[in-house]
Amino acid sequence: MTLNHYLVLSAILLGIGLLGVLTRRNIIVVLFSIEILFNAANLNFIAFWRFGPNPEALMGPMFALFAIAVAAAEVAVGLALVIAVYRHFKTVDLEKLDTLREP
Amino acid sequence: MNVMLYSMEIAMVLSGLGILMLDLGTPARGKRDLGYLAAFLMSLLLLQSVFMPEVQDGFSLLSSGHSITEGPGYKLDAFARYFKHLFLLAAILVLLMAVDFAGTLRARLAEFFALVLFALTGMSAAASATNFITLFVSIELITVSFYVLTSFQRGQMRSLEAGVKYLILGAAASAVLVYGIALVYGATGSMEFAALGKACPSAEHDHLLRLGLLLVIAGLGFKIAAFPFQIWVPDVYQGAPAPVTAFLAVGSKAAGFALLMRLCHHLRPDLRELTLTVLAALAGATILYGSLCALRQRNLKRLFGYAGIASAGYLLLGLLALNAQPGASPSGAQGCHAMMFYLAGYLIAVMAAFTVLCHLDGEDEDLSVLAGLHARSPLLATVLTLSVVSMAGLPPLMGFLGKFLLLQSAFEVLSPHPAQLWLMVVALGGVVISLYYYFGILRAIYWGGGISPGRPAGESEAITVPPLARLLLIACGLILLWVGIFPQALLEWLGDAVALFR
Amino acid sequence: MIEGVAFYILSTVAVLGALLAVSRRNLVHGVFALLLFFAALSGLFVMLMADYVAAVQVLVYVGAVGILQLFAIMLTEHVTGDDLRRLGARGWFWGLMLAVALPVVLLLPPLLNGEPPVPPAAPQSTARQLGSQLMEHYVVPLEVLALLLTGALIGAVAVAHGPEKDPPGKDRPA
Repeated sequence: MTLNHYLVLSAILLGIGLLGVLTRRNIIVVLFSIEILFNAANLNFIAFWRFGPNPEALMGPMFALFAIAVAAAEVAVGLALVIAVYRHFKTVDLEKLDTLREP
Repeated sequence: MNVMLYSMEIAMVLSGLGILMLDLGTPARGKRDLGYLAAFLMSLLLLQSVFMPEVQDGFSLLSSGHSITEGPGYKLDAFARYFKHLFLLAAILVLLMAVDFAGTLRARLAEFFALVLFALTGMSAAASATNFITLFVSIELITVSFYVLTSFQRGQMRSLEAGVKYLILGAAASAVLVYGIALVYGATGSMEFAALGKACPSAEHDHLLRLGLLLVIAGLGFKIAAFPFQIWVPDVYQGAPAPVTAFLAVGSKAAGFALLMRLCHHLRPDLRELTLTVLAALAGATILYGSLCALRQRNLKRLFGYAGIASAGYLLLGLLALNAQPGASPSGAQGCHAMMFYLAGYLIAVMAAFTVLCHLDGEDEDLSVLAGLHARSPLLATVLTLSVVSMAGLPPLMGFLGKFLLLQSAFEVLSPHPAQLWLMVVALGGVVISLYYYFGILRAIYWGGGISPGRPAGESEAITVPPLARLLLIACGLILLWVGIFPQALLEWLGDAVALFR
Repeated sequence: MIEGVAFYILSTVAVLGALLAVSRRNLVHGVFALLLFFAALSGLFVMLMADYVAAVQVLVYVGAVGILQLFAIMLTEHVTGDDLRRLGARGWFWGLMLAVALPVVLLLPPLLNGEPPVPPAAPQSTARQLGSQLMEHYVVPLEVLALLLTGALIGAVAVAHGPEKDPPGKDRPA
């Protein structure tokens, strides 16, 4: 397996994630897609580290760890917001949140 | 490792955690005072850092024998200090604004104040970041705190909605940023900004680096609200509580620009051709979009949102100088000088305007709530006028010189590229358009339909402003005037701060 | 040989899992597809010798995030939300365009790359080195991250906590 294999896989996953963010209107599914995006980036980090010039420096895995933690925190806040929104709007559909818009 | 290097961030975190602890023993009536306490602590920190910066150096001298200004991924230079001061000032004003605003926040005030301090810590760390790991965690600390702060009025639909929209778009932008950093890492094999100045091993790596840089610029472009990434701005600005909007407008934007400045500073000359083109296009589109959309706005917070987009465009003009070829006539320092001056003026003007907004009793922020403000509270009307005129960039206020310096540096950078002079046309056009929409605010204050028969009589009552807020408003107004007329002191101070970019 | 088979199996699972997660109407099916995706990525990390990251991936994503999402689904929508079916027509088109265009642009450099880099010798277990580096070189980002998690925790409670003094009648459309 070469670096190219992993880069191609990561690019495909990036595309799937973007597709989800841009087309789905359910907040929970959009959060799924965002996690797929973060994971695609993490795959890149690990692959570049494995095939990179100095694997002793461990910068790739280090950043991946930070990214995993940050993504988890974002999702936690996101899901808390989903629950609060559901309580008020009785929906998790982004298109139905329209109290804020151009007059 | 030297702890004193991080003393400002540590003080901010400890204050935040202390407020959370004190909250446990504070009766409901006293919760507001925690905001005063936080603002007081941050004022002490600001005063210490401005007037006695040697205290920190003294400690590091004692502990290690020599003065340390650099740690891994972190640098405490004059540039970082200037931005830390800006952020501290913004946080103090926001905290005091929030205390007056506490009535509408209703619950969990201590958490609100603590999160403001956490966001401040993130901004402060971002100002010092010299590698991508510090950049990423500090940006994320800012953003995650703002997701919560935005949706803090959770009894209100629009606050929650703003929070959700900000979170969805912000998290997607963060993911793009991470992907970009991954590509840059793959190309350079390093996380340090300094590695951007070195040659790549092969052409493919170079291609990867360019792609990565574009994605990183896109991710940071979201934070500064540059054109294609600005879609969140109007809704979030409108829905968030007013103090949070002010902090978002100033702090988040300034942190993004500080990071962009550090990044661009390290770029290799041949990469600068790419970034110069991209940033010039972003700047033009941002100015045009912000100005045109602001024209037909009636909601004050949305209007300030679009005006904020336009000012992000002007600030990007200053960034162009950093991306000119080395040795070109305006050095990068000149552009940074202009940006930092403009940011200071923008901070004061925005804070003053939003403090005024907090004291207007109108439930919605339609322009018509300003009607007759000069009769109801001459102070609020005067300060809002000063701040709006400063944002419009009219002399003799602070905003004039900021905008002038930015345009001047951009003009000098672009003069060798006649094809890009269209950007100057757009920028000047934006200035003219901005006069129109800012004048709309003034018209609403002084000539608005204050005597229209439909208004209830009670609305023409005088507005009482608490003494502390009055003091702050007067101070903001005076600073805008004073620094606008005598900018020499600030400009000299900035001269030290941008020495890095010479 | 075995490595190649494993790679193709894992990547197929990952791509299918991701596709299902973003396209299923039934949210619970979506979560399980997503868990599959996380697990497949963790397998890929093992293949790339990043053992510690793989373990964290399982613990954080498959464990914590997955469960969190299940909870959120249970607390909000009926499990098969009917209103999820509709994809906004315009958004769908642009999303598809971007989702196709961006990977193509990102794929160009590796595909142009004639000679693939040779993988260096496999490093030993990374956990120990990661730990010591976190405590030395990366201690400041680690602390900032800790603050971020604290902020997220406080924020999540502040936002999602049950209704209190806020009278519901105070809601006002802007």
